[in-house]
This record gives sequence, structure tokens and C-alpha cells, in this order.
Amino acid sequence: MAWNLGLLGASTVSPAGTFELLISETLTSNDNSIVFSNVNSTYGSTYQHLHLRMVTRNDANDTALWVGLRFNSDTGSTNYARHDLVANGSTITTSGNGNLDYIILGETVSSQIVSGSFSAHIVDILDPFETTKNTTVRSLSGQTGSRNRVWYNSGLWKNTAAISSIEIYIPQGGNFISGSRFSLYGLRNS
Amino acid sequence: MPTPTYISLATVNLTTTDASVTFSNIPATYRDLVLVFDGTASPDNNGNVQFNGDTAANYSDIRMIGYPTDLFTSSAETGNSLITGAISTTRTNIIMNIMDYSATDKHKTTISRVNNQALGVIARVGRWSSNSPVNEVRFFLSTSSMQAGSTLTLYGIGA
Repeated sequence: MAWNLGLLGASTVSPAGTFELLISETLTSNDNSIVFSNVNSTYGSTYQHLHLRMVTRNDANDTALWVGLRFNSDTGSTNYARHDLVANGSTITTSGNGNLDYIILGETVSSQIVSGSFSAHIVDILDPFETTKNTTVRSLSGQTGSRNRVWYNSGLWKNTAAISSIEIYIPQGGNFISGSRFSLYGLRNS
Repeated sequence: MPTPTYISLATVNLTTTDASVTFSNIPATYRDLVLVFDGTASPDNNGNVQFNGDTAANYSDIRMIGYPTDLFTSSAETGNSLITGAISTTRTNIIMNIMDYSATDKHKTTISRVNNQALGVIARVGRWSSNSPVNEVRFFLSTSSMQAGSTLTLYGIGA
């Protein structure tokens, strides 16, 4: 499902430093991916950082699947990097990969986990509209239940282009279910 | 049209010691709530959160803790409250995000960061196993009290 931010009207003037809701969508049917498009053309001159808040669950016959993040439809296999710190209630593991085709934003619980349980994600996308630096991402997420997890992720898109689109999807297949929510916020520049 | 959000709903600034602070009659007009604690307790004790007066074993929690002694641990539990992390005589900061708090089709998942220079840094995820909208948040210490000067603020983040 694609959400074209260019359809939104002109913004009103708000005090500098304001944290503002740009768009929020709660799925009413299952979908493998969410795309926010026209991000730079609509908000690049107004906002310094982006903030993403999500609550997700998927329909796969599994315990959980990864949540992937890509920018500007870039599916290149070496264009992203990530590091993870993951706790499962007894141990903590770390991992990293310097050449990937997406950034991981933790995981989304699947149908084998107790009904009503959703994974939650808080994501910061830093300086997405700057063209002198690669885009960095940090994320804190997790869920409890029969699959207890806390994920602390960092991600890098190895490209200095301004962010024009943001795709959140499930790389391993499966669909986010109805009730999953994706909210994009902007932090104004000075 | 962009909507200014991240609204302070209420702030409590303790002028005396207190073991419990409750925010009630929370409107269902926001998407997420954020509870921020900044203060101290004596003696050291865990902070706890309950929703809607629910004191039953409907809460679960997983945490990732980094101690000052270069030790990392993870643990998980279920119980009759969400444990926010230890509060001590050293200033502690707790930020708890209560996601989709007014939804009626899902349990309530929380994401928290806890920071205490003496005790460590903690990342936590919790869940209240109820589809009811959160209309009350109680923050309390079981065997200790928050000290005067401690503050709790509840924010609403717009939908």
C-alpha cells in the first residue's frame, strides 16, 4: 500500500523545534509493505529529522519475522549496513552486516504468538534530507510473550541522496495484518 | 496537513515523598502515551506501572540491562505490574512509551529506556494483556518512596 504525501495540503506555520505528525495509517487489510512517497518534495525544506512509530503483527505461520526498511526503492544488495543488539530474556547477542539490501527494524510477531500481542517499534531517521551524508537510522523495538525480544538496531543507507520514499516491509514474506499501525512524524528544522 | 503533537497532558512535581502517582481520566484522543519520570527514591526500589487499576497477573516484561561493571544481562517475567527499573538515590530517568494505548483490538505494548548512572542502563519491552483502552496509569514503588523534587509527566502523541 502506497501513501502519497504529495496529496497533502500546505502546512501551517508552527514554532521551530515542533514535533509534528505527518501521516499515520492503520491497516484495514493485510499488506506486505507500507510506502511513504514524495517525502523530500513535501517535507524536505521544513523538517530536519523523521521519527517513525509502529505497532505490527503479521499473518505468517511462524513466531516472528524481520521488519525491513528501504529508502528510495533502493534494493541494491550491498547498499545498507546494520548492527543489532538483541535480548531474548536470558541471553544477549550481537550481530552486524556491512552489505545488505535492507535495514532491520527488529521483528514483527506472527500468528503463533498469543492473539492481541503486537510488536512495537520506535525509529529515528536522522538528517534524511541532507545531501552531504549517508542516512543513519536507530531503532528500539520488541514484544513479550512466548517470543520475548528486545531489539536495539542501528542502520545505514550508503547513499547521500535525500530520502524521497520510505518502505517498511517483511523481507521473509508474509503480510502485516489489519490493525498494524505506521505513523511518521517530523522534527522541524530551526 | 502537519499536526503539532507531543502534548504535555499532566505534570506532577513532588514536594514531599510519595510512593505512588496516578494519572486518571486519560482521554482517548491520542495515539501513544509517553510517561517520563525523573527523580530519586530512598531506599533503592523498582518502579512499577499498572493500567486501569488492574492488579492481576496481566503484565509481562523483557529487559536488556547494562551494568556499570561491564556486565550485560537479559531477563523476562510476568506479574501484576510492569517493572520500569530500579530507582535509587542517584538521579534516575525513565521514559516509557505506551503504544496504541486507546486501541480496542490489541494488547498494550510498552517500550522503555531507563538510565541511572549508579545502577545501569536498561531497554525494556512490556505488555499489558488487555484490549481495553488505557484510561489510568499508576506509577508506584512497592517498598520505597519517590523523593521530593521527583517529577512525572504524561505526554500524548497525536494520532
